[in-house]
Amino acid sequence: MMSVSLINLFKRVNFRETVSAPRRLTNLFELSQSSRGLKTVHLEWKRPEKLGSIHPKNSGDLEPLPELDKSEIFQEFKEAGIDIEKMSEEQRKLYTLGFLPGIYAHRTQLQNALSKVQRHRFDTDSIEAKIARSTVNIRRLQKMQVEDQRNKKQKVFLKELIDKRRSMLNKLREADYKRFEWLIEQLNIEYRPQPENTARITRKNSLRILTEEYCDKVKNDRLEALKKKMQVEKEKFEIEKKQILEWIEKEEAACEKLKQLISE
Amino acid sequence: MAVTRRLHKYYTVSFLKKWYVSHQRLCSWFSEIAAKIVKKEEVEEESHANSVLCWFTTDSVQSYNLSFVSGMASKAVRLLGRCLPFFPGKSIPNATRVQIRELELDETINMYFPKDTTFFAHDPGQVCKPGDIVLISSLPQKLTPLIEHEVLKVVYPFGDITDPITGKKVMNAMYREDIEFISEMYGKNEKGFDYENAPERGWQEDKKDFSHKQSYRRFQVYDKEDKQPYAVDY
Repeated sequence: MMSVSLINLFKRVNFRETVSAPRRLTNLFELSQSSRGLKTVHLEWKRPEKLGSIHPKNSGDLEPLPELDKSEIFQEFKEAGIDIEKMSEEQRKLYTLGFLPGIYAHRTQLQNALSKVQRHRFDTDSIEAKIARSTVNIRRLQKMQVEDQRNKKQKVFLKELIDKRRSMLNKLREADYKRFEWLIEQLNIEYRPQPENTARITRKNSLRILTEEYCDKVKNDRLEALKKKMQVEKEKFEIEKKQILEWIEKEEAACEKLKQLISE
Repeated sequence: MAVTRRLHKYYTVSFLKKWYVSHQRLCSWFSEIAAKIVKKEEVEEESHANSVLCWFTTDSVQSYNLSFVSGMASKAVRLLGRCLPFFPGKSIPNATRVQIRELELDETINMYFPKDTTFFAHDPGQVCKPGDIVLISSLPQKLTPLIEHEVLKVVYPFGDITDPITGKKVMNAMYREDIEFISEMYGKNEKGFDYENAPERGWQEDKKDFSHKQSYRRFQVYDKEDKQPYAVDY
């Protein structure tokens, strides 16, 4: 919460400092030159929270990993041909995901994500498969990082993994755009390009943008009000116009009659 | 498969550097290819016969960028270049930024180096998207102090690459036909991507793909509604 008078803002502007936004500066400069009676405007500014590049909002992961059914049997055991039906319930429990170590659940997650995206059954090396695998890893690590926030090595690893995936997405986008769009939809990833201007967010600059926004709003509101006013006047004018035209027609008719009389 | 792999060998930089050591020979070889494409695409009128054409390619199709004459981009009538990310605002509406790459001769080493020049081109329909390879021509009169050129057409759209020699569609180092052929041989995944039924580019705009607009860092927290849809919270 902050209230700043416009006059003070203009005084504080150092024109040489901000090269990145010349247009805004010139606008402000003109305003300060032309207008004399400046009024105070109360602008509210809240500093936005820094989430960090690991946060799922910035990495682009729109959903966490789906939770698995723990009573389910690990799929590779099924494919291996183990007769589970012959076993007793206690024996069968040994092969379920709830009882096995966590890496088995992770492997099923990987397989589920791959099966959506793979070109064929043995495809693990294509760029889509790589992206799918890395998304599963990223979402798993993001969950782990929330629980253990002081694990810096893991954090660094996660950040690097996110950057790698972003570069892979960039490559796929360049090579085949339709496939890229399909993949984003399948894996539920949000793709945002990195901003060109990575300058630090400051109070002064953001207030400048807000003042510009405010000025635009005032300008637009006044214009709209003027348009409404004009439209009301238009209707009045049209009624007047009708009346005057009728009067002219009458007068012309009268004049013609007079002409006829004179000629006769 | 084997044929395409062998062909792709000719597109790599390392191969070119090995065999086309003298740059004059390289230029002549590329000029023949470019001339074929130009015949197909454009330049039927005689008035444009003297136009200098700068040949600009994507990395994945041909990994070598080339133009005939260095320093001639400003004098040329027609140019082939790549669109840069540019988002028209109040100051320059209805325009795109096009980058053109030429080779400049460094006489001390007697070697060519790439040199980029950028132009603003008039694009009233806003057909161009960043990354597209477009043909632009110089206008008889300047529209504005900045805009001297006009976009004629999009030759190669971004992310939809065709091999200029064979005319087939390409993804990275392989033809799309070959990719589908391989997956069919192994047994194609039914859930996987299908080119034939795929929708046109742009169906994910403002849903999951936000690359068509410029992104920026968030500078304000609005209470009621999100006025910054393309912001990033780094």
